[in-house]
Amino acid sequence: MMFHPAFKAEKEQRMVFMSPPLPAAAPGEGAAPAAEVTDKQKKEANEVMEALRSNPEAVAAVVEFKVEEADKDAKKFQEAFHSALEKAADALYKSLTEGTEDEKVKKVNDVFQAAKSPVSFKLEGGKLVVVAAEVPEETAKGKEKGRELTGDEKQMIEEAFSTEPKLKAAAERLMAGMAEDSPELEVAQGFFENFNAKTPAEKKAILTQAPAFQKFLKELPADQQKFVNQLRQTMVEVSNELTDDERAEKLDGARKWLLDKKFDASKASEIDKNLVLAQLQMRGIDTSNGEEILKDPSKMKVFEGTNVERGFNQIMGLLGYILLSIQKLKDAMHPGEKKGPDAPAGGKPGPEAASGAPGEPELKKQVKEKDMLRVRLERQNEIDQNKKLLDGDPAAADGSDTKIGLRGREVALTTKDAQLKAKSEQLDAQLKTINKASEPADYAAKEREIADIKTEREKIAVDLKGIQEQKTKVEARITQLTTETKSLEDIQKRTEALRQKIRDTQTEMKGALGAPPIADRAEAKAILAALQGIRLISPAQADEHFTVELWGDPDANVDMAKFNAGADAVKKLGGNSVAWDMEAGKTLKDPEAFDVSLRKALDTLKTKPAAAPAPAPAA
Amino acid sequence: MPNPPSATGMPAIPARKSGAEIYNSIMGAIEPELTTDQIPLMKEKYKDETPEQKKARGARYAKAMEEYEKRYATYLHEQDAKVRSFKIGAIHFVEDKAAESDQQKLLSIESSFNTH
Repeated sequence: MMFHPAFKAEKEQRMVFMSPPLPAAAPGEGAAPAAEVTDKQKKEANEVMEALRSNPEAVAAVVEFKVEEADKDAKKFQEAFHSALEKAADALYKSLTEGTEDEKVKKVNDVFQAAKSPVSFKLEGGKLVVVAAEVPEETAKGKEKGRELTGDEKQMIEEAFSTEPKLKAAAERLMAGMAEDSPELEVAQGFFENFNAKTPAEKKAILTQAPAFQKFLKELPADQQKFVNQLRQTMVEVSNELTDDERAEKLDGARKWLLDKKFDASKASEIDKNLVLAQLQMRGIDTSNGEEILKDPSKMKVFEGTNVERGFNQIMGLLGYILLSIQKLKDAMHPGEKKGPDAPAGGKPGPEAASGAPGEPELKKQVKEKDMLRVRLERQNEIDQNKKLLDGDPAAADGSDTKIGLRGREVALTTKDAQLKAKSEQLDAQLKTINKASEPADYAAKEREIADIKTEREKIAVDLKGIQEQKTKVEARITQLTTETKSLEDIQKRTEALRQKIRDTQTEMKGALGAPPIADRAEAKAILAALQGIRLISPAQADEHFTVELWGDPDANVDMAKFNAGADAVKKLGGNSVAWDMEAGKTLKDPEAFDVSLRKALDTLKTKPAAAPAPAPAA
Repeated sequence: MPNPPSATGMPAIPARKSGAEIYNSIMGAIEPELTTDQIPLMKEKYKDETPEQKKARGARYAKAMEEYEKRYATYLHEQDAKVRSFKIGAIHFVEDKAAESDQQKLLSIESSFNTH
């Protein structure tokens, strides 16, 4: 908010103006980026500075305020993270169609656990909410903890730091944390470049004199400060003074190592030469005359200095070696993009590039969708064929079985069987009336006819059974195909619905992200401009009415043009312009409405897109 | 720096820092004396200072506060970028997971077709 919500006393209100104003953010939105400090705010900040200059003890109150402010902002950002996570989990939950609510919640939690995310969710009010923790910062910075050193790396460190076990341990830790593109590497590289930019005299002073060290520290960004403080602590613990025997051991070891390498400096690349020099530096050798000692190892000498200087020099050698090794690897993979440890770290890709190669996942999805469509069409075709089998194909020849279908044939056979049965019963009745002795021919004829009918009926029964079995199979097949085709349709619809939901969310986010910060919006600028020179005094200090006073100079007039522009901006955003109806120096008519009006205007700015520029009048 | 994703693509929420931690991490690099653990020691430390020394100290503190404001504004911008990056990462993660589960169902249906 522009004004501190509790309208605190004048001094604190100045603090609020001094801080970049943050419009009230809805939960999940995160704090808006800081607005630029205006001239008025600078003036107010200067007044605070004046107060501090005359009374440095007042800094305690200022610090308390700053800590509170940082705490509130941290809370807002954390809410934004949680909200984003909840929305994502909720979207996944809503995409699930099978299972009970509990099963679906479990499935979402399983998905997140499988992704090694420590958060878990529960259903509350129909949507998923976060119940569990964030990732500890150390783990969030790099999920891959220190990598295993290779045998060669261990041996190299062992040889270089053979007389300094604590330094050796620090070197191993350092190396293990320096994976390519790791945050630790970037910090180390930044520090390496900053330190090496100093002259030898400055480096010595930094390593041996506390004021120089403090001054150097203040020049570094916070992550590099932490890095070098940790390193320095390790150096202090290395308490050996170098004895003559140790000097000799270092020199002999380094010379032998270089000779064994059979390193030909005349044919080596710059990076290879620097790699060798870095390894010599790790062994405690003074590499200030690098070219010379590569050509003639007898020219080597040990790096002299205090324990801190020597230890630091060795660790810088290790850092240089790590950075150069990674650079060499990168150069080999991407010959056109050479960047040494001296060069500033390359730009990182923006967050929008985090999703991988565009096109390939989409192509896979498209192919799968084509398969799905093909399968659906094939199955539908089979359903149609089976239906024709059941109910008959009108296009088939008249009188054929195909034309009437299985059901038709079943009916026809059943009807015929019924007719034959009736006829047989009739013949049976007639047989009873014929005297076999007196009319043997008639009797025999009737018997034969009855027998023929029986045979025909038995044949019909067999055919009927076959037809009914076939009919049952076809009907079952149709049911199965119909169910599965519907499932495919459902899957496609759900996938499309989820994609649309995600597209809508992305559009909404892009809109929100793309919208300029509120403080940059024309309407906000108009309102803020109108408010310059106006402040409200807390009820505790004022009379029963809010009194609007002019900032700094009670006799100065408010810039009414700006004031009216601000009132118009508030009106356009749906605010109540009545509260703005006041004259300079007079009592505000409706202070509550003023506050509500202002809050409403600022809230509307958050949700409303920026106004399109007015079209040019027709010629 | 954007939140690093885990091996399977889900971005991680960084642990929340307290206001004091944030303030100290910024101010510690500007004027270590103005960190929250040092402020209580101030009165005792400067009990014998002269008016001129007090004035110089006040000037130093004022300058430190100015620098703090600038760096805090930068910190807020960085945090905002982290939040945006996190949101985008979370969306991509969910979209991939939703597509995976549908593909599995499709595969199981297709395989049941192939057995007939």
